[in-house]
This record gives sequence, C-alpha cells and structure tokens, in this order.
Amino acid sequence: MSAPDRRGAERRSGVSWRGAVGVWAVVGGIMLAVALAGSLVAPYDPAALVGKSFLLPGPDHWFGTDALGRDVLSRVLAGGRTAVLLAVAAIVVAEAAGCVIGLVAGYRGGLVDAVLMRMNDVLLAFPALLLVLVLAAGLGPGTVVLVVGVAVVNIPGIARLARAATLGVATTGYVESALVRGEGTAAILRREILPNIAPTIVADAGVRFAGAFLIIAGLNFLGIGIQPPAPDWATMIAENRSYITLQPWTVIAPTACIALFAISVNIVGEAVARRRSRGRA
Amino acid sequence: MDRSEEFNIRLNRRRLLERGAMAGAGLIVVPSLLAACGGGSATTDGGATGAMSTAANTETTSGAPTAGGVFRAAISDAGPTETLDPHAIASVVDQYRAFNLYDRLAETQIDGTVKPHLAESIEAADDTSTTWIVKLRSGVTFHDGSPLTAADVLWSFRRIGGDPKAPYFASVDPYIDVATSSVKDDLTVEFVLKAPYGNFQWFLSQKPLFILKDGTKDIADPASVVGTGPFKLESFEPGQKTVMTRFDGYFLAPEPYFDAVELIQIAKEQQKAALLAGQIDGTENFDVIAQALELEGNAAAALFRVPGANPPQFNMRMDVAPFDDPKVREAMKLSIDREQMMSLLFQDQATLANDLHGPSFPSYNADLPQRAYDPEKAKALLKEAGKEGLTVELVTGLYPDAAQAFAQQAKASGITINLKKIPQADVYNTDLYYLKVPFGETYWGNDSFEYIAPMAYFKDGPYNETRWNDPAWEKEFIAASAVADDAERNARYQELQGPLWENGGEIIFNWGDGLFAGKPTIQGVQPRIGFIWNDLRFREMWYQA
Amino acid sequence: MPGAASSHGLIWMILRRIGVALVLALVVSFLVYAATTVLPGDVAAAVLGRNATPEAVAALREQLGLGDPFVQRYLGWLGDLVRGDLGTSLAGTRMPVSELIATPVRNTAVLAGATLLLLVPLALLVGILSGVRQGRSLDRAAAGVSLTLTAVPEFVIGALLVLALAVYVPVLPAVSLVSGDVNPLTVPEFLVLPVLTLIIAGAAYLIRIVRISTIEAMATDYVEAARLAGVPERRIVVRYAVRNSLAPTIQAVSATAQWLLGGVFIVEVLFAYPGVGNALVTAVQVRDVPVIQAIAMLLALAFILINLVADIATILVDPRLRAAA
Repeated sequence: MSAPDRRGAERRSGVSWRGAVGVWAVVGGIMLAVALAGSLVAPYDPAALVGKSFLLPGPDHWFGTDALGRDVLSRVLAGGRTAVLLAVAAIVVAEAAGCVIGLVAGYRGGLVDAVLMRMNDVLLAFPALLLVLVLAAGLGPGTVVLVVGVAVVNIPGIARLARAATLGVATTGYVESALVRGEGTAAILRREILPNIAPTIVADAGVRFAGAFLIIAGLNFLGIGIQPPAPDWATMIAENRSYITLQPWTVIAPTACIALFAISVNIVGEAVARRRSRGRA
Repeated sequence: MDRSEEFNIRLNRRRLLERGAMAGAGLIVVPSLLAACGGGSATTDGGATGAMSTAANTETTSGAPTAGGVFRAAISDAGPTETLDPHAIASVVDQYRAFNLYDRLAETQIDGTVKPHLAESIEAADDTSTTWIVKLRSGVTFHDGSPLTAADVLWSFRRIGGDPKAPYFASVDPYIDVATSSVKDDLTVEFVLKAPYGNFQWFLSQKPLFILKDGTKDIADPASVVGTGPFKLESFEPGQKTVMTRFDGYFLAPEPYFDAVELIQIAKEQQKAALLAGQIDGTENFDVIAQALELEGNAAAALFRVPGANPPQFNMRMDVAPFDDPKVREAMKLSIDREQMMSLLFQDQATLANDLHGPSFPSYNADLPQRAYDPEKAKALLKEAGKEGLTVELVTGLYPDAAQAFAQQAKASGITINLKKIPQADVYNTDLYYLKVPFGETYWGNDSFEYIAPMAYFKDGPYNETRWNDPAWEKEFIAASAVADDAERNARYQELQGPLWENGGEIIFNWGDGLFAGKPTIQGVQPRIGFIWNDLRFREMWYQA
Repeated sequence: MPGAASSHGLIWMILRRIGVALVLALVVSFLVYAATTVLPGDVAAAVLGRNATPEAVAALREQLGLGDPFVQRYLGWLGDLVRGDLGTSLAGTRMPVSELIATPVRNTAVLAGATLLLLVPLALLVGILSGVRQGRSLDRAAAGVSLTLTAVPEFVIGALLVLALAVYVPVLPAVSLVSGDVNPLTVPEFLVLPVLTLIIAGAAYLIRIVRISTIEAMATDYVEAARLAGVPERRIVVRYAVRNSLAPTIQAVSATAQWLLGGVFIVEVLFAYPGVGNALVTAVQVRDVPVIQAIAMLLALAFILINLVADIATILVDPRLRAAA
C-alpha cells in the first residue's frame, strides 16, 4: 500500500498516540533484535531434523515441529535476518544510485532531468511486484532478483526526492560561495549539497526500507526469492500453508512475526514523519 | 542396435514421459496416480507387496458381494481436453472411463499376476517367441449385443499400430507387425512380432490396448462408445461429469455390482471435505499423507492404499568426479537415513527401498542385503577414497523436502550436500539439468526392473541417468528378455540386479504408499500396485448391504 | 491548471493524457519483451524439458523467432499483440494464450470486481463518517485499525483469516479451488476469504484518504458560510463535504484499483484461486514466455487505463475545470 498521507490533518489525543508509539517502538526493537540476532538464542539448528513431523507445541518444541520435523521456534528466530538484510541491501543500492542520479539531475537539469521524470512515469505504470516477477521470469528465482528488482522499483522515487532536495539547496549561499571559491562540480555536490540533503534522504530511506521488506516478503511467499532450506518467515508461511490444519503454529508464528514487524515499523515511521512535518511547519 | 532392445526403448519412452508428467503434477513426491502396472509377468506374489500393506483401512471384505448402489468417484483433471477414445487416453479421467467401458486381452490380477482377460489363452507358437496365438473367450458380447470376434481384435490393434499418427502408435508398431498378423478363425488371432519377446502376455495387458468393435467410427460421439466392459456410457459432460451404468451382459457376471459409476470433477484439496459431506464416495490419492491419516478412526471414511506408489530417487553420475569412485557412491548410499525419511516424508506409510527398482514384481532380487544408515562406515569409505569432508551439490526440483532431509542426515558422515533448488519444470530440462548434473533426481514410479532397465541402464538408453555402462550386462539382459519361460527369465533378471545394487548410482530409499479414501461401506478394494481402486476396476467393488 | 481552460482546452487536456498513456504502453511493452527474452538461459530448451529433441528445440526457437535480430522480433511481437494475437503457450497442451488466460482473466475480474464493489462504498462510508466526526471514538478506532493494517501484507492477513475462519472456527474453505470453467460467482463460498482479505488489506488506505479529504472539505469557507446560514449539518456533509472530496477520492479509488492488480497475485496464490495472478506465477515457474508476456502486458495496460480513467474523471469533476468549461 502506498505511504500514508501526511498532510497533517490528523489530530488526536497526544498522550495515547505517544503511548502507542512508545509501545510499538519497543515491539519494533524486539522484532528487529529477533530478526538480526534470534538465531543466536535458537534452541536448535533451524535446519536440523529434531523430531517427528507436525508435533504440536510442547516443552521440547514450544511452537512444535514442521513437516520435516524441524523446530518451528528455531526457524522463526532465524527466519527474519535474510529478508531484513536483503531489504537493507536493496535500499542501499537504490539510495546510492538514486542519489547520484538525483544530485546530477537537480544540479545540472536538462536532459538528465527529463529522462529521469519519464523513467519514473514508466515505473509508476507498473506494479512493483509485477516488475520483479517479470525480471524473475528471465533471471530465474533467487536473492539477486530480489535486490535488483526492489532497488529498481525504488530508484526513480529516490532520484526525484534527491533532485528536489538538491534544487532547494543549490541556490543557497553555501553553494554560491563554493562556486565563487572555484570548486568543481563533484566537490560541490559532495561537500556542500550532499550533507544538506542527507536528513531528508535518510528519513525517506526508513519508509522505503519498510516497503522493501514487505515486497521481499511477498516475493519470498511466491517462491521467487529466498529458497529452502534457508529459514524465512514468508517462505515458512508458503511452505506450511498446506499443513495449516495439521500444525497451525508453523503458520501462526511466522505470520505474527511479519505482522508485528511491519506494524511497528509503520507506526514508528509515521511518528517520525509527523514530528518532521511539525518541525518544519 | 538389437531390434528387441530398440523395441523396449521406444515403447517405454512414451510411458516414461507420461510418468514424468504425472510426477510434475504432484505437489511433493506423490503423483496423482501410478501408471498402469509395469513389466514382469508376475506369476508369484510380488516381492514386497505383501509386506507393504499395514494399518488403517477397511480392506477386509465382509460377506458375499451385493449388487446395487451408485459409486461417485472424484476426479480432478477433467477438462476441455478429455477424450472418449480409449486409444487416445491422456488425462486420468480418460483412463477411468476406458478401463471400465472397454477390456484388454490380458489383465493384471489382484495378486500381481497377469492373466488372459478377453483372451482364453496367450501362447507362443514357436521357440523364438516371435509368433503368438491368442484364443478369445467365447460368449463375450459388446454393449450393443454383438459378439466379440478375432476381427475386432485385429482391427483394434491395426487402429493403434497401423497409423503413425495414432497417439499410441509407438506402443504397438515396434513390437507387432500388424500387417502380417492375421485372423485364424472367429476366435483366434495370430500375432507376428518384429522380434522375439518373451513376456507377450504382460505386453497385452498394457493400456491402451483396448478392444473396440471392428469399424467403430467417430469415437467423439458418445453413442459410438461400444465396448465389452462392465459399464456402459450413459452420459458425458467434459470437465464436469461422466455417468456409466451397469452392463448386464458382462462376461464376468456377477460383476459388476454397482448399478452405476459417476466420475465427478472436484479439485483434489476439496475431495476430503466432499467425502465427509457425502457428496462423493471416493477420493483420489492424497497429496499430503498426514491429511489422509487424519481420517483414521473417522467413522465416515475408510482409508485405502496403493503400496509403494512413490519412490523418490537421487542419482549420481558414475562418469564424473566424485561419483566415479565406487567408494564415494557407497558412502552416499550409507549416508541417507531411510527410516527417518520414511517417518518424515511418508508418516511411516512406506517401506524401505534398497536402491533397486521393482520390489513388487517377481523379477526383483529380494536376497540382496538391505542398506542401512551407517555414517561411520561412510566416513571410513571416504577416508579410504581420500575424500574426507566431501562437498557435493544436489540439484533438486522434485523432492525438495527429501533433499533437505538428506543434506541434514549426510552431515554425520562429514558430507556437505549443498542444495541447488530449481523449478520443478526444469528437472527434465535436457539443456540445463537432466542427464547433465552430477547429482540429481528422478521419478520412475513402481515399475519392474525389466521395464526400466533398457531405458536407464543401457549405455544408449534415453534415460541413463547414472551412466551405467556394461556391454556384457546389456547383452545378458537382451538374451533374458527373449525367454518365454517366466521362472527362467525372472531368475536371470535377478542375477542382473546384483552388480547394480553393488555399484550403481541410484539412491532409492523409500517406497511411499499412495493413500486414498472412500465411504466406509465400500467393499472389495485391495491394497495393490497400479491405479487406485484395484487398478480402476470398479466392477470388483460393492457396498456392504 | 489554467483557469483559462475552455471546453476546447479540456478536450485537448484529455487527448494529451490519452497520448501519454499510449506512449507509456509502448515503453512498457518494450520493457516486458526485453526482460522476458533478452535475459540469459535458453528459453526454448527450458520450456521443452525432458522430451526435448534437438529438432523440437529448433522448432520452438523458430516459433519464438529467436534467430532473428532483437528489434525485428520485438516489432513482430508488438504487431501480433496489437492485432490481438497473443501467441501460443509453450507449456503442456500448447493452447493459444488468449484461450488459456480467458478463464483466469474472468476469474480475476470477478475477484477484483467483487472486492471493489464492497470496498469502495465501505471505505467511503467509514472515511466520511470518521472525517465528519473527527476525533470521536469511531474516528479514533478507524484511524488506529487502518494505521495498523496498512502495514500488514496481504498474505499475512489472509493467513490469519484462514486460521480464524477455516481452522479454528471452520466455517469457510481454506482454499478457493474454483476449478475448470466454473464461474466463481456460482460458488460464492470460495470467494469470501479472498475478497475479505483484499478488503481488509485495501480499506485502510482508502479510508484514510477519504477521511482527510472530508476533514479538509469540512474546513472550507463554503462550509463555514453554510453553517452560519443555518444549513443542517447533514446537508452540509452531503452537499459540500462529499462533493469537494470527490477528486481526491477518485484518485484514491484509482490507486486502490491499481494496488488490487498487485494484491491479487498474492491472494490468488494463497487461496489457490485460479486467476491471472496464479497463472502468472505458474508461468514464471515454468518459463512460459508468451503467457508471461501476455499477462504482464494485460496488467500493465489495466494499470495505465485505470490511471487514465481516473485522470480524466478528476479533470471532469474538478469544480474549477468544470466552471471554466
């Protein structure tokens, strides 16, 4: 779903909102910790065959076992890292490419600017998921497709943002005085403009990270991304959904993880966005 | 190339392709149905079949059969491509119909033997088994009341094997010279073969060698569906429903017992619910064994099985490193935990496999020792071979679960199996993976050694997945296949399995059962290989009164 | 936009949008074709599989025109596409693609149509009510729920619904299994869970936009003046709020419809619903290139078309533009 509208028309009791944000920030922190470091505390090797198939939750296996007799808790603890890191990788690639394009377009204008805007129009005419699916049709499934596809989807938006921010900064005194000092374009971009637009870009990257994580999860669910036996929340939902009546926890546990992670990132992102827009106003 | 060898390959190729398609259709290792019975003129109870049936079903038959009732069987692949032509059957529902509207000259029996069916006798006319005399039963009639004659039989074989455009041309043409085969009298046909073939009785039991009435035209018209089978076609709506009613003049009276059989299109995942809701009386094979087992103890359903229908198989190429070393192959075979596989993949609804095909057939060598999980010995072998800490890549598309489990089990032998997951559809891609990868997968189904051998173990066999290459072995196989005497032929086949077990590149670890369910009052369903429902013989089933 | 727009200007504006849409469609077609045929891997061999003979591979290469230069192939393909010839599927029965995807297209249309029919009125109702009663309990509840659900992916919502309504309280089938040529409308019980999943996943966004538009409309001078003139609140809502929030709402509905085109993939796969999303995922797995191309183009065109219709509708309902015309 597209990013929440932030025209600032939302008003609400500040106390309960701040409280909710606080709670969700804690949840988000926990989920991030689980995603990144959960495998360190997992009771079993997430790939090991440790019991019979479809064991229901019990003292030995808190969330039971899956079709291959693997510990569901251990798989859940280990199942967030790859998707989170892939989302980070995709966004880093997209930000790097997008910022370069945007900086150049904003500073130089002209042809680059026009091409950039048209590229953006084309990408907007294509659902992100469809784009990555079409790429996967040619490249074959795998994590490379995920990173490339998600990065491509994000580059035009980032470039536009960077371009707008650059346009705003390019006319300021810093830049003019740098020009007067006779500095080259690259130096000006790097030393004067980039530091000034960085806060905008970083805040935007946070929102994009959440979006990237969700697209990657969706693609993993469709079997286009992370391949078994690597544990992954979305892949777990896909591979266990035909056994949902036999052992529901194989689906409940990863479902809860994705839901909690996604909601907390979104609410914290929303809070940050509100603060920034209030700060600007 | 020797004629008979070529025959084998060409006939079998088609069936293997069908099988590949079926394996592709299955969700995990469980294809919808088995191909109709395999090779081997089973004259004795087939090897492991007896030991395979356990647990959970009402296969006990109580009391004498009673007539009456309608049997509604679920099928999942009905659609616009359905055909009424028994010589063009492709989808499963086509086979359901053909097997019940028509008959073949010979049929496999519940005990695994092959017996004459429309025929009274099938005998070799000479020592070289190139000419065979088939005498028909007298008194068999078609649904329209006309008697079955030798002319109908020859006409039917010419319909399949006389026109290169006929879908199953390759099933008949390489074997039978239909032009010189002839009618001897009203009830006698002389089949002239193109090369000696010792097991012609089994040959005649294959689908689609159904007997039609001489001169049948326009088989697409339901009115022209005139067979000798136990049921007559009543109505046919492609993609939806077929109704077949009892043929009172069936030559095996009192069979059939049901008044009618209905084939109802219903998606596989929905069949269990439909059975419990009373909308159907029988399901197809379950894709998830554990879901079938949930019906255990349910008074509204009985569970039936096709023993050993699903043998997942890994292949090592014997001509490339590291699998060119017999010690490495042996170590790999010892590194798979067959018992644990049985539990995880089949919920123990399976039997152990011993890296050989065909345990349900009399040609199977059951005297070879059963391989077991022995990581210590595997380690020692690898050490001898100088390959400690071996790392291999397994290309998996058919059995990702089994491959993941194998990778875990092999760790104990110090072997690292990295998985390369490919789309199921790419497994048989000859340009990318099939016959190319050093370590891959395949699916053959529950078929006899002699059926599989010419394709899989001949140097130039089309599906020689392991690169088994032994000219003397091949020569002996061809000689054995021409032997008409069942016992002698089977003994020679068994001999041939020794070196294969010892040295081959196939890892076959489980014979998983196919499970299907039906109304608890259904009687007469036996655990046997082939298709479900007694190899689709609805005529043998009845409802408990 | 120019206050000087005449009806002439209006038509020109619409024609210009149509032109842009056509150019976009052309560019997208090029990208789809390039992405599906230029990438590595021998498509012909990949498709044929185990029964590939060299002759068959050669024949298929011929069919795909893989021997010709890329631009020539693309133009040939585009020409066929424009004439409505989608080619022949490479898998299994080798059916014409148009025949193969006819039923999935119908099924997806049913699913998406049913979802929109329920989702839009529901979101409008909740959105307007929340906007009018800004800050009250209904508004707070709606805002909280929608903020939460915006973030949750469709397959997670769907899995939760399956757990609730097909596993723990088994009142609905867990999979759709509308098979063969059955029109899904004749088996509505199989539509419930997929539609419900899409509504829950899609409502949040639409509700928020409608709510914000309503709040802004209610804060305009017109409304203030009408209030002072003693016009009843109910009439104000209908007269001004609803009307003035129309343009942003159209954009939001169009965005929702576009989102739906992506959302159906996942929901169709989750519920084994036989629509285009499922067909595309299957085609990607078996590399049935003509089917992938056809479905990708179809979805992209639908995407562009929705955008176009929404743009034109916005132009037509925008009071300033209407007044000028």
